[in-house]
Order: sequence, then structure tokens, then C-alpha cells
Amino acid sequence: MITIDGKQIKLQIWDTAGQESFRSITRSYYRGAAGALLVYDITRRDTFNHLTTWLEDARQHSSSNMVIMLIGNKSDLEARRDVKKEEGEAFAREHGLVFMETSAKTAANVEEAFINTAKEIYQKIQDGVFDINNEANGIKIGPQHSTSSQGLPSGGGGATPGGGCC
Amino acid sequence: MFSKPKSWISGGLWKPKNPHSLEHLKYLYNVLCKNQTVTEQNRSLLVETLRTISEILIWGDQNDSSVFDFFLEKNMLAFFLRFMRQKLGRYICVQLLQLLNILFENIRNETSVYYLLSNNYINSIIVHKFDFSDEEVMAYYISFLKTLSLKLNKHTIHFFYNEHTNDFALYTEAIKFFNHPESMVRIAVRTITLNVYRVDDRSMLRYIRDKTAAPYFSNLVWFIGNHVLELDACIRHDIDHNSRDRLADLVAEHLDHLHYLNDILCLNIHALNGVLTDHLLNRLLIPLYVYSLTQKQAYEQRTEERPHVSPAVSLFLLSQVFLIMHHGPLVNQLAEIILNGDHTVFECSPSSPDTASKLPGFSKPEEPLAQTLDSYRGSLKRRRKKKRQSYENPESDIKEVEDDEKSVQTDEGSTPLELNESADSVTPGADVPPRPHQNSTDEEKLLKSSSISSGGDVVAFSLDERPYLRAMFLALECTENDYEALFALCLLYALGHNEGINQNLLDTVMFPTEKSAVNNYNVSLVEKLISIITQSCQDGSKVRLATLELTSMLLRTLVHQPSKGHCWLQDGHLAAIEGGREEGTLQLRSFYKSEEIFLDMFEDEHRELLKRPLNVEYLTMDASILLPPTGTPLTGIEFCKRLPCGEVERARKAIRVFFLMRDLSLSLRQEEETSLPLTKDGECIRLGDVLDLNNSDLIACTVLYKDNRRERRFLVIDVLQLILVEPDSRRLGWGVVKFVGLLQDVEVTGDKEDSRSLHVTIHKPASTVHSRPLPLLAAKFLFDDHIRCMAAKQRLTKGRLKARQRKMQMIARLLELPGHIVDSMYQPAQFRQSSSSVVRANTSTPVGRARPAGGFFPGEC
Repeated sequence: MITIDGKQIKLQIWDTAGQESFRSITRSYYRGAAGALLVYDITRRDTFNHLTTWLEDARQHSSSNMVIMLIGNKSDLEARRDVKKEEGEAFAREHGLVFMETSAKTAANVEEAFINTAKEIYQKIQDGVFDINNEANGIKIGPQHSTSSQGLPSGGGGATPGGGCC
Repeated sequence: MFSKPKSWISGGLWKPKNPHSLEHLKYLYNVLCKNQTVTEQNRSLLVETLRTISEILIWGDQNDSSVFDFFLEKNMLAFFLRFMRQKLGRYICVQLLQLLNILFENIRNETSVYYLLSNNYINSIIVHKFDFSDEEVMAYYISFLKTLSLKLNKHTIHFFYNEHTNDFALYTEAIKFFNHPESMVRIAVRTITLNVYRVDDRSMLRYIRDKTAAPYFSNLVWFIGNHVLELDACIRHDIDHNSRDRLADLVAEHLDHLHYLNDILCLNIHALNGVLTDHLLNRLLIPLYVYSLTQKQAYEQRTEERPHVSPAVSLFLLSQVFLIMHHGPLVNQLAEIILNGDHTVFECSPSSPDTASKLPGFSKPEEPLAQTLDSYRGSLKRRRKKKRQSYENPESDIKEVEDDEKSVQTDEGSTPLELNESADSVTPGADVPPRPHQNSTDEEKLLKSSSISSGGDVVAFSLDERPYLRAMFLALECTENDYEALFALCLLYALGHNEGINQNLLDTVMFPTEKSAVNNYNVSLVEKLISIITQSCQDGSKVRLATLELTSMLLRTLVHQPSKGHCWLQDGHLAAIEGGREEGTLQLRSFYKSEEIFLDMFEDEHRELLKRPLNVEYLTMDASILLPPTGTPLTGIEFCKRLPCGEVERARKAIRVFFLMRDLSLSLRQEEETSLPLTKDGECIRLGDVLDLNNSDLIACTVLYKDNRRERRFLVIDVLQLILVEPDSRRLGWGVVKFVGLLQDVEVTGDKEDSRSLHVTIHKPASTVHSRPLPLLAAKFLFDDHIRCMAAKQRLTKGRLKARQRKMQMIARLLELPGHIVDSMYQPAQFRQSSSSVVRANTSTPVGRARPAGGFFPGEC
């Protein structure tokens, strides 16, 4: 539950990690979501290299309006860094994504990542890009008419956040 | 009741300072003991307590095993269950479910998982009657089941599936929600079932097959079928593209179903696949999809009849089926009926009346799934009885439907079943075609198909007695529009590319593909395709680009195999295609130079075509093609899937048609493309090349980038490119290429405040559809004085113009435009004239380039 612009917004977060073996499942997750967090591991270049495939997948199965955040995770492991921050920024710029580096371990930027995604979605709702009456977009108006909720699948190049997350 | 319970009502145990410790858990346990009944007053306390407990448990799992021991010792799961069952238990249900969710998601210790699962508490929680009308409860409940299903393996399965009582609550409770209105719930149900099926446990799978498969699958296909009917209704009532969102949803939903069913089939569970294939074929695909193929004329006439959709929708859906599913028994039986079958599949053979029950029919399962499943739960006796019922009743249901159908058919002559006169002559029983039963083996089919093809190897093909195939051929007609043709092409393509279909089967209708050995093609099919091609090359054609591209792809697979290196298209057919190509070229000529940006359009369309060849799978994911073809871009429909709007788009279309036809014709004649793209990589100078720049015009400048970087460079203007070099330290007069960009894309403007500066932008097409096109270069060039600056500006502007003219002449030659074929107009720019002096250092040796001694580096001042 977060508040943007004085409006209560409930985020519904779905983690697709571990279910990639079934194509039907990943497909459906993308479709019902208003936003997605594409996560790679800054200490493993291969996860960064796979982003294009993931992105293509996400775009193909989702509505073209889906907000996609690019997240470079494990920013606490600066010593083992394999992907420069600039590279992440450049990739995000080229593909029209919002970029952030986070650390699930120290919780740095984690909340911001979700809040920023929600803000972007909210902005798109304000701009009239999302049809809020169509639930297939992953957005629903809450009971008090002030609440909307969104599904955000997260997942990506094998860099799932470590530690317990709720 | 307790306003500050944490501080003083804790039975002598003070709240420990360390939140992650056994002591804290003990303290919280005490809190629970003090509050064994949920009340309005203590609900928030309990919720917070439960939340903290889950935190400690996760911590304990990784750090301190005594935490978990304590949790088990105090039997806290039983505690939770007691909470849930209370009158006000719903207050904390969500928190409890969340706790369990987090617990199972995060616990890594195998033994801990076993302990949690023993005692059957989890199963009791699963069958607990939660208030599912509460959205949140529903969401957490189904996530909990999903989390559990992810923990399933050969060992843990026994905690959930009880062989003796035939109980498998996790599975049976989950599938009750298979048609829940919330899509996330349905996705979770699918995940759970897939996770269950993939556990390799024989007795569990036997239970699934014997007790649940038939009811689950029959309900599932009924659910899918109803979605399909809704989809059809949605199209029928929407000529103005109003409900596109709803339609897109329904299409995506259908795809979800197919992918799900395919995921099950791909698990290769033999027993399950048999039941699933049977239900899919005989209760959905044949009675609804295939049946609808021939329902064209009957569309408006009849009101009381069996459910069906429009032939176009049916073609579209069948394409999806064949593109997604490759399970041999399923696709072969289905393809066999479409290609060779006739209406007799819906008829009952008089010689064996018992087969009536196995006739395909799209009918409602006799009771809702939840009811069927609940009845299994009863006593053993009741269960046995019930089981027999549920297997018998649907059959008799179908029998009735079929009987009705038969009587209708024999009574009237204008029933949809006898749409095709030829099919009438088939007397039931005399020559019963193979009926799609799950037990007909591949060998049988092989025999069957070979017997057919051996019957007449040459041109014994006829559409008589092939009503479905004939319907498909009829759909290829696009005199009015290409609406149905596009779907028929999709289906043909899907059939040809389905790995599960035996080539022998395709050979029966002379449909050769990569796999086949025969070089015979179906002449009437190829003629249909050629007619589409001819029509699309004409002025004002109603054939969309996607249709043309797909036709061309299909034609190639039919008559041409690159692997075997030959093409067996008859001369007459080839000539017809060449005729189409000429017509297309003629069309494009009228647009040549009609637009300022003709060159950019021409190159852009070619790039698009190369980069994004038509993907049929993506095409059949697009709901917008289900609506009548439209011309207006206001619908947001992609260009190749609609008709052109306005002069510019008509030019674009003509360009595309030209490319597609050129490509088709070249590949059928097995010639290489040598003229396209207009810019050849080989002719261009690349980064890092070392050039001999003696006697070349060089202008020194400083390049200022947006990010405040500045570089000292020399500007070189080639025929095609703008080049920035820096002096080569090893060879006097040579330069290393630091930047290249196409002159044709250069945009140059002066600086109002500084007469020595130019703003140079070099545009670049976007690398992917979704990415933003970023300019290749956007910088300020600072020259030594305003004269150099003017000179540079002039040369850049002129260079751009010349580069463009040069390419326009190349296009003119491609179009064989009279008056343009002359090469004399081609005036190479100065730099290229001295091309003998431009040598790339990386192309072996710069031999024979004797330069005047003492060559100097002109720009160096």
C-alpha cells in the first residue's frame, strides 16, 4: 500500500521466478500486469546480456503500455561488479526503460524501485494511456474509488533478490 | 480489552530486545496463548504477532534451528487452524495465509518442510472454508496453494496425496477455481496443476487420471469453447472496431488456454495426454472449430442448431492450435480430419451403434466441476456410485445431441452439414472414414495415408469429399477482400510448419514441405496463391501486405526447397508470378520521386522487411486482424495488417510489394540479391580503418559533444559518408577513422551566435521497434574560422544532396525507369575519384599506392 498524489495505491506483486519452465505461465503473468521489473545481477554479465531476450518477451506478451523498470541488483557488491552503471543506463535509455541500481540485501533503493514503477503507472493513468476500466491492463479501481491496484511481475536474468521479501 | 498488551500482559515474559531470537518467539507464543479467541479488540495485536512470528521463523531457518523446534514443539500450526475456525477467524485469515505463504516460500531446510507438512494440518487448512468472496482472502489462499505446489516433489507429494483415502486436497481444491473471474487466480490454478502433474509419482498420476482428469478436462474445454463463442459474438457485433480491448482479451485468453494445454501435453504424461487429447478433439476442436469451417452460408439462415463460430474465426483459432501444439496424436488426428475428413465424423455408424457415445460433440459437462470433485470426497461407497454416473451421463447426453443432428440431416437437404453437394453422396456406413479416437496409432495412419497416395500419384487430388479443405480453399479467394484468406493462409502455414504432423499426411493433399521427399505440389492450391499475388500487385488492391508476405512464404515452401537446391514450379506459374512482379514495379514507378522522402521510405521499408520478417505466430496473436480489414491508421493497427490510407501510405505499400515480389521472384529463380540494400557495408568505410588522406580535402575542427566532451578531429567528406579522423601516428598523411556517418542522414545548421560553429546531427533508424531512435551523432563542430566553417557547411549540404541523388539513380535502375538507366549521370564525388589513394590499412597491404614523396598532412597547421 503506497500513497502517490494523495491517492492510496495497492501494489500486487507477482514473482515469476522459478516458473519459467512453463511458457503458459510466464505469458499470462506478463499479460495481466501494468508494470514489470526486469532485474539483472550487476556481478554477472550474462544476466545483463540476456536482457534483450527478456525484454522482447515482455513486450511481445504484454500491452505496449506496460511500464518496465530496469533494475541492476546487488549494488552492495561493488567489488565484484561486472556491469558498469553506465551500461545499464545506456540500455535503459535506448529501450525507453527507467533504470535503477538496487541492493536487496541492504534494501537500498528497493522500495524506491517499486514506488517509481507505481508512479510511472500512475502517470500513465493520468495521461489516459491506460484504460482503467479494462481489468486486463492489471489496474483496478478500488472500492472507495480512490484505490487502484496493479500487478507487477518481477523476474529476470536469474538475479532474483536474495533474502526474504514479503 | 487490553490497551497495551505488549508491555504488561505477557505472563511474566518481557518483550525481548532482540526481535530475531528464540526468546522473542516464546514471548509471542505467550501472546497467542493469552489471546486464544479472536475478538474485535485483539485482532490487530494478533495480526502483528503473526507477522512477527513469520519473520522470526525465516530468520531461524537460516540461523538458529531451536526456533523451529520450538514452533513445532508448541504445535503452532494447530493453533493457527483453531484461529481460522473461530467465528471471527476471518479477521486474521489473511495474515495467517500470508504467514504460511512466506514460511513455505522461504524455508530452505528440507526437514523443516517435512515437519511442517506432517500432521495433516496443512491439508486441513487447505480444505478450510474460507470466505472466497473476499478478494484478498482469495488472492492469498491461491498464492498459498501455489507456493505449496512449488514445493512438490517425489517425497513431499505423499503429504498431500493420500493413496488410501484418495484425497488430494491441494489439487482438487485448486482446480475448483479453474474458471474464476480473476485472471490471476486462473493463472495460479494452472501453475498448481502443472506443478502437480510434473511430479513423477505413479499412483498420484493414476488418481489424477481416473478420478479427476475427465471432469476437469471436460469442464475446461467447455469453458474454452464458451470463450470462443463469446469471441465470435464480439466480432459479429463489432463492425466499427469498438470492442477491440475485449476482443484482444478473448484472443489472449484463448492463447493462454492453448499454451496451458500444450504445457500439460509437453510434460509427456502418457495416461493424462490420452484423456486430454480425447477431450480436446472430440469435445472442442472437432465439434466446434472444424465443424464451423463449413458454416458459411448457414450463418444467417438457421437459428436452432449446434453452436458454431464463423469460418474465419475457426480458421484463425485452428491456426493458433497448430502453431502452438505439436503433440503428435492430437495434431495428426486433427489435421487428418481437416485435410481428408468429411462430415461423416459427426455421424454414427449404423453397424456399431455404441460408437455414438464417442462421437464428437461440444456439450456442457453434466455438473459443475466443484460438485463432481466434492462428491468424490464422500464415503467410499458413494464415491464409487457417483463415479459411474459421471462417466455415463455425459455420454448419453451426447447421444441425444447426435441423434438430433442425424435426424435433421436426413430430413432436410439444406442443412449446414450438406453444404457441399459432393459430400451428400457419401452413404453413412459404406465408407466410414477413420474416426478420431485416441487409440488410433501412428502406424495405422501411415498405412492409411500411404494407401491414399499410392492410389493416384499424379494428379488424383480432388476436393470432393473434403469439405473442410474445400472450405479452406474457398477462403483463399480474395476478390472482395482478403479477410478470410489471411486466416486460411495462417492455417496452411501452421499445418506446414507443425513438427508433430506426419509428412505422409500432408502428402495426401500434395502439400510438400521441408520434410517431404516428393516434388509434387498441389496445383489448385498454388494457383490460388498465385491469384492472391496477382491481385495484390494491382492498383488499389484490397490485399494487405501481411497477406502477400504470407502467401509468398507459403508458396516458397510448396515449390522450393533451398536445402535441395531446386525449385519445381511449372513455367506457366513462374510466368504468372513474374507478371505480378512487373505489375508491382509499374505501380512503384508512379510513386518514384512523388515524395521528398521517397528515398528514406524506400530504405526504411527495406530495413523493416529484413529486420522483421512476418512472424505468423505473432500475427495470430493479434486480435485486430479478426475485425474487417480497414484502411485507417486511427485504429492503431499496424501498417502491414491494414490497407493504406492516403498517398504516402500508398507509396509505402507499393515499395513493400516491390520488395516482396522481387524477393520471391529472385528466390524462385534461385538468384542472389545483389542490388539491395542500397548501402552496402562493403563499400563503406568503417571505424578504425586507416585511410591515406594525402591530397584529400580535410577540414580541421573541434567536436563538442552534448556531454561536454571535446575532441580535435579532421573532417573528411566521402561520397557516402561523413568521416572524422585523427592523424595516424605511424604514417604521415594517414588518418585513423574515429567516426563515420551517412551523409544522406546529415542535418546541418549554423550557429547564430558563433559564425565558426555548425550544429551537426546525423540521424539513425531505431534499432528495435520499441526503442527510441537516438541520433548517431549530435554535436557542435567548431572550426578555425568562419571561412572553413562555411566551406564545411557547403560541402556537407552538397554531399548530402549528391549521396541522395546517387541512391535515387540506383532505385531508378532497379525500377528500370526509362531514361534513368544511363550510368553517365553517376558522377562520383571528388574523394572517391581519387579512390586509388583511399586505402584501408586493414585490407591486406596498401600495395601499388605509390605516393609522391614528401606528402604532407594538409590540415595540420
